Amino acid sequence: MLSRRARQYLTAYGFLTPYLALYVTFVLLPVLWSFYLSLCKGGLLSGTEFVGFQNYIKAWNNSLFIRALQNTAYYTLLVVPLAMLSSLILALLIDKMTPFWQNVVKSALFLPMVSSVVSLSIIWKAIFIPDRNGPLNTLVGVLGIPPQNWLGNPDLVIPSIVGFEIWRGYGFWVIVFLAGLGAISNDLYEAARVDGANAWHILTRITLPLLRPTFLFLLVMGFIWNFQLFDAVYMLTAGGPANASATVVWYVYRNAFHFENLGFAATMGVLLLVIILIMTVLQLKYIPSEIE
Amino acid sequence: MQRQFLVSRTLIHLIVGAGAALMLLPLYWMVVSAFKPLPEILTVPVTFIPYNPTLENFRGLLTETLFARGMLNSIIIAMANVVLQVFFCSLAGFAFAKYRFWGRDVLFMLVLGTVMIPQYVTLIPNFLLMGRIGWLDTWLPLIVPGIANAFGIFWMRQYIATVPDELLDAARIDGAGEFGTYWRIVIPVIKPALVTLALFVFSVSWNEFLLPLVYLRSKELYTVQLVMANIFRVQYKVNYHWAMASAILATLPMAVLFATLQKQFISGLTLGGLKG
Repeated sequence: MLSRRARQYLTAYGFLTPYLALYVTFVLLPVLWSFYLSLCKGGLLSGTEFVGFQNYIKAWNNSLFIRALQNTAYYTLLVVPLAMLSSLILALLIDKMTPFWQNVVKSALFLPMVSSVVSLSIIWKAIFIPDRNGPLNTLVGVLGIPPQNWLGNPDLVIPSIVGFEIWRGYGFWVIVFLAGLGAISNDLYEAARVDGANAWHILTRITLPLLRPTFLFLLVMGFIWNFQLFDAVYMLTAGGPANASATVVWYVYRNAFHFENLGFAATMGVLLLVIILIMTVLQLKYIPSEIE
Repeated sequence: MQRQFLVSRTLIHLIVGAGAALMLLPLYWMVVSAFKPLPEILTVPVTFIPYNPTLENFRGLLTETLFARGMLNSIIIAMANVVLQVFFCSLAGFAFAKYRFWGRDVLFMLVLGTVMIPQYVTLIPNFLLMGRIGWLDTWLPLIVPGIANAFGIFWMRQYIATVPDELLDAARIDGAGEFGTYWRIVIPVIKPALVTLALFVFSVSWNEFLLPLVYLRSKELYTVQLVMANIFRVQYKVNYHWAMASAILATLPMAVLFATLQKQFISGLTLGGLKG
């Protein structure tokens, strides 16, 4: 007869084994393998050969990779602040609405979130039709702006995809802000009002400081997601025109599955992972999340 | 004072209402376009009500493309993902929450640490691995690795930790084995958390694009997203009419789930935020 303690051990490991086996096989080992592959050259058909740090030097000198990095950074630096600011304003307004209308608006915001990038891209590709009569061109025409080639103009393509991605993710940003706002105790607002604080003071002295953890969460997650942009690029532009909208993950995908450069693709993947990790650590370290 | 309050409140409702309507405009446009003949979608001026509403797009989509097959494939894959992930994640979450064993905290931290590892980093080695074990061009790569869902474990552990130990001990005294305790006590008690996880897993699986794109070759195996992307990206020809109809039908299951289980959905998607 086993002791109770031994039985606890065996049961716990028994419950964990299927999970851990899959975890080691499909997550842990592949991550390590990825690092090894980044030191190899070759592809799916030709097999791989160890070449040391050559790929890293190659990445540094590869103008397309540098371009993809710049595009990715540009893209993220547009999406995160714009989405953050506009969703904060919307959340502050929604917070003042009656519960019924709050739910109506939340549902409206969530519909794009439950739809796939593929179906939403189809809609937006049509909205972006460069024709004078395209939906978006008709809309901006009302404002007196001449028709644009939204996805075909190298200067406009990233802002256009940014607009799409903000629209697509808006529901999430707003819901997270609403959750943050809901967590602020009403007593604080009452006390401030008793002290004669006006709406602006309440916003800047109570609401915004107490939302700090929410800001930090959205900042960190916003960077992590947007640095991995792929689906929208695949569907809307295929990286074009002339690589103007190519992101790092897009370039990784092309190299791995179209150009037979598995090793080089792994190298760029590892580099992106390192960049994301450094960014996340810096954000968590230097942006205070504690409420004063 | 009271009147001023009323005015500002009405104003807020109007502003937000207008904003929300603007946000929904693209989706509305998708719906009306799906009922327009192709030339009417492209030629213009933009119409917000179809001149000649038609069901022809849906008929063509269902008879001339693999769309229906893709829907069926996606439902099978998503259900497999839901059942397997909910079962194994809750089982492992139970072990992490309610048992004391050597290495528990280290293991848990290790699992959580991989939350940050993006999909594309493991994609290339996994592709090579799938090639070696003969899983390419099957659904297995879309189902089996997903069971190792770190978010699922984390979510389940947090929730199961709130189940009182007395409840578990009572079941054990009544002679339920350890698995019986999990199956008959833990599972019913954590049902709301299971539903949320199930919804989350379903929506991720349903909307997944990169994995089927990389792993599937045979068109009969394509998921609905892949079929849609293919219909849409035929070279030299843009099938907006079919694409719009497919976008509606492919969103339908998610919209229905969302409408019926909105509350669980919101917590599920917030959970999804951790995934990224």
